[in-house]
This record gives sequence, C-alpha cells and structure tokens, in this order.
Amino acid sequence: MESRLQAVFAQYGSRLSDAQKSDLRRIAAEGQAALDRLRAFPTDNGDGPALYLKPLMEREKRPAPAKATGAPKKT
Amino acid sequence: MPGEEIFYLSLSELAKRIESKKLSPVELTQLYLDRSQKFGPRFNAYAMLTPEIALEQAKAAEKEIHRGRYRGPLHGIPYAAKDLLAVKSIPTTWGAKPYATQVFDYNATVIDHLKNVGAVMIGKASMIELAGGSGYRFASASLQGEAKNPWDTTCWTCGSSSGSGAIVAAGLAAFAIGTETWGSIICPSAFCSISGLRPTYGRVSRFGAMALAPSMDKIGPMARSAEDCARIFAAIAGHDQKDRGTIAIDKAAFTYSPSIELRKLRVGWLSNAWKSYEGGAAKPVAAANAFLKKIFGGMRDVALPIGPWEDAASLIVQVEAAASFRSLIRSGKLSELTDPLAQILGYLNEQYAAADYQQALKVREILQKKMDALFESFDVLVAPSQPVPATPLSLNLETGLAFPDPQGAIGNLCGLPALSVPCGFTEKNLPIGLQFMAGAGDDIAAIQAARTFQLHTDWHKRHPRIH
Repeated sequence: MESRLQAVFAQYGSRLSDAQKSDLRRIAAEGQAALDRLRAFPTDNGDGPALYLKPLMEREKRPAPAKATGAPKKT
Repeated sequence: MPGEEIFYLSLSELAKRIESKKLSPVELTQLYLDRSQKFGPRFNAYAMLTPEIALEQAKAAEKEIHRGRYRGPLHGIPYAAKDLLAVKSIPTTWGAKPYATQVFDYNATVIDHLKNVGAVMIGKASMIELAGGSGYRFASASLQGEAKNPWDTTCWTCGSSSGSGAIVAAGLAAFAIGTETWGSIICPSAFCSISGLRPTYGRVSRFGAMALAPSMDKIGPMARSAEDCARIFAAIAGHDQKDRGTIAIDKAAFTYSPSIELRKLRVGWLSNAWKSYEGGAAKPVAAANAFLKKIFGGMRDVALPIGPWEDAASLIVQVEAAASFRSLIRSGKLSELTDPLAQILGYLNEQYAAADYQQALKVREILQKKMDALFESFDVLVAPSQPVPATPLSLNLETGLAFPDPQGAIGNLCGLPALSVPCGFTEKNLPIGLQFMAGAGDDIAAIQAARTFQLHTDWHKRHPRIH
C-alpha cells in the first residue's frame, strides 16, 4: 500500500493538497483488505482470465468476390 | 390540452395512438418538450434539451406515418439519451466540466439505431461525472448538479444514470437510455420507481459511448414497464463491428413480441443479496416476496456463491477506468471535477499491479462458471434492487451507500442481464425496486419474469404528482 501511495505522491504530489494526500492514504488503507482478500483467493496457473483477444479473422472468412468461370479447381 | 396521464402512457399505448394517427408525433414531442422545459430544471434532469433535433425528427416521423410507412412501436416516440452517448455536432459532456464543450462528429450506434426506428431525441440526460469513473462521494458529482428524485426532491435519483431516472419518473420523456458498469441503471430505476433493463454484456454496441470499464460497460433502456424495455432493447441490440465487445451476430440481436411463447420459469429468491434492509424497505420487500411466491409457484430460496466478487469487480472497474481516463488523470484536469473523491481517486487507481488485475480476471472466470452452474437450476434470480429507498441528497455515499452488493458485483462481473421494476413504497412514499436477473444471453427470461410480475401488480403505473 505504501509503495502505491509513494508512487502517486512522487508523480502527482505537487497537485495534491495535504488534505487530499490524507484522503488518499485513508482510501488506500481502507482498500487494502479488499486487495488482500482478492490475492488470497486460490487460483491456479491453469485458470484463464476472463478476457480474451478476438483475433481479426473476420476478413479472412469473408467470401471472395465472384470470378469469371475457368477450368475447374482440383480439390 | 391533454391531461397529465399522457405523459405516463406506456410505449405500447403511445404507439397505438400514433400508428392509428390519433396522436401526432409532433404534438407529443412538443408536449414533452414543454414539460421538460418547465420541470426539467427542478430535477436537474437534463444536460441539454434538443428541441430543433426533436421537432425535425418528429415532423419526419409524422410525414412518414401519414404516408403509410410506420416503422414500429418507437416511431415518433420522444426519448432522452444519457449524456455520454455521442450525438453529432452537439455537446456530449460526460457530466464533467473538463468535457463541457466536447463535440463529436458522429453518432453513437445506439443513437443511430433509435433514429432508424423513428424515435425522437428530445434531449441529453444529466449524469454523474464520468459515470463515476473517478469515484464520487456525493450526489452533486455532476456538471449539471445533483439529480433530484421526482418522488421527493430532497432525495437523490441514484446514479450514474441520474438524469435518465428523473426524466422517466417525472414523465418528461417516454423513455431514456442509461448505462451501467455497476448499478447505474438498476439503482436509479429502483430509487425512481421505473423499469430499467441492464442487458447481457455485449448485446448493445458501446460505439460512441464514453468508456468507463470496457469489460463491464453496458447500455440499456429505462422506461415505464418491462415490456417497454423489451421493445426498446429490440431496437438497440445487435452486433456492431465498431464495438468488438459485442457478441456474435446470431446471439446479439433481440426480437420481441407480446405474444411471444412464454416458458415456465424456475425462479429463485436470493436469500443473501442484502445483509439487512433500512429506511422502511423491509416491509415492502417482505410483501413483494410473499406476492412472488403466489405468482411464481415453486419459487424457492437460493444463495449467491460466496467469494471476493466485489473486490474483483471494484479492482477491474478502477483499473479499467484509470486506463479510460488516462489523459484526464495525467493532464491534471481531475481537479476540475466537481466531487472531492473524483478529484483524487484516479491517481490511486493508476497504481494497481498488473498481477492483481490478472488475479481479478481469474476470479471472474471462476465466478462465471459458478453462475453458469446456478443457472442450470434456475432461469431467474430475484431480489430487491437496493436494500434502501432513495437516499437524502446530502448523504456521503462513501459511507452511507456502501453496503455489500454481491448481487450487483456478480451480475456485472459476469455480464448478466437484469431488470429492475417497482414493487412497492415505504411509509414515507419512497419507491422500492425488485430485480430479476437471468443467465448470460437469456435477457428474455428476465423480461418475461418482470413482465409477469407487472401483469399482476400496478406499482409501475404509479407516478409522482408533478405540478
């Protein structure tokens, strides 16, 4: 928690009043329990994240425009 | 001059009159515009009214209908759009001072869909700044000021679709479009005694809508009834190549007919949605539960799975919001936001570790499987939308509205559809809402259950006296 706060203050400290810094410290402290619970929840290496890339394959699947007939293709 | 009741007619009623040419879209639009001009400021309901756009669209609708080209139940119907939906050439403020003069040169897909079915946009609904993307502590967290509840103007409408809730409750438009990342359609619908649908994630395109947490943002209708919500949802749902978060074409679209074949629903009452009820909510909740048992024979208690779902949902929202508003955070313009929490939280949200975000995503996947398993035994899960009625405007929301919400966390983490409908009032005449939640993609089950409830009750037909 402290390292996160120090990162915030290092980057943005000049924008924050003392009251705002205290407020952030309080929020971070209150949020630590939630972070600890999340970290403690057992997950395995094999558990996939619920966020998947959608490869841009639609173009490959689009049908080719009709061409003039020629010799039949071998399949 | 029509009486007050015209402002509260359902979509179906309005559509019948418009289609039969007994009601002019231009006349209806002007009536809603006049009412919105008169009463909108009382509730801080609008970011702006758009009378020129509205009357142009209403005249076009009237012309088409007179020529026999009736587009369907939304043709000529006035609505308001939450002010995070881009509408070409007019300000889209996101409810936030840094974006007060922001203008896009395109429409959000939802706006285009509504235009295509002939709906009439009368204004942009006010909202919580950045839809709460940098957090907020007070109801006043908005460029437009705190949205006041038409049932009691000393109370809040809830947010972030705060103006949308006020507009529908006060009869300022026939329906409104809201959005939800976590609670922002369901809560205002409950506090304002209206019906609001949070669709399955990915069924409505977010193209042109402000992003808050892209893996959790959803757009949905807020209206007079579950049936109205279904009709609006049918107009706005669908795959969109411009929003790659939308699901496949065959799964995204939604069609609705009142004569749709109904299936026997397995309904479960969530026994652990809320720890306790306050503010007089307990009595109407108990009455709603007893009534549900009568109309859904076989309804039984069921518990949500236990786990760090809210912790995961909070972290995902905060991390994704920090990314969404990165330029705002880095620019220093957070200080221009209205709310004291919004002015600082973005800085902290930037500092979560990637490993913690990944852990939240793993937890999410585990939860999705648990909910999938639960929906093997139930079609719909019901619980009160909120454990309290509308809160006072001055309430510190960080402490006063911060109770555990596993129902909201689970529903939004898993992208599940839910429909909130009115189910009663407290002794102080503040509304209480009931939420019907279904499995992913099974929006029709939530709609059917809510509609069945509304066929047996008249809570949704009550409205505040506005004068």
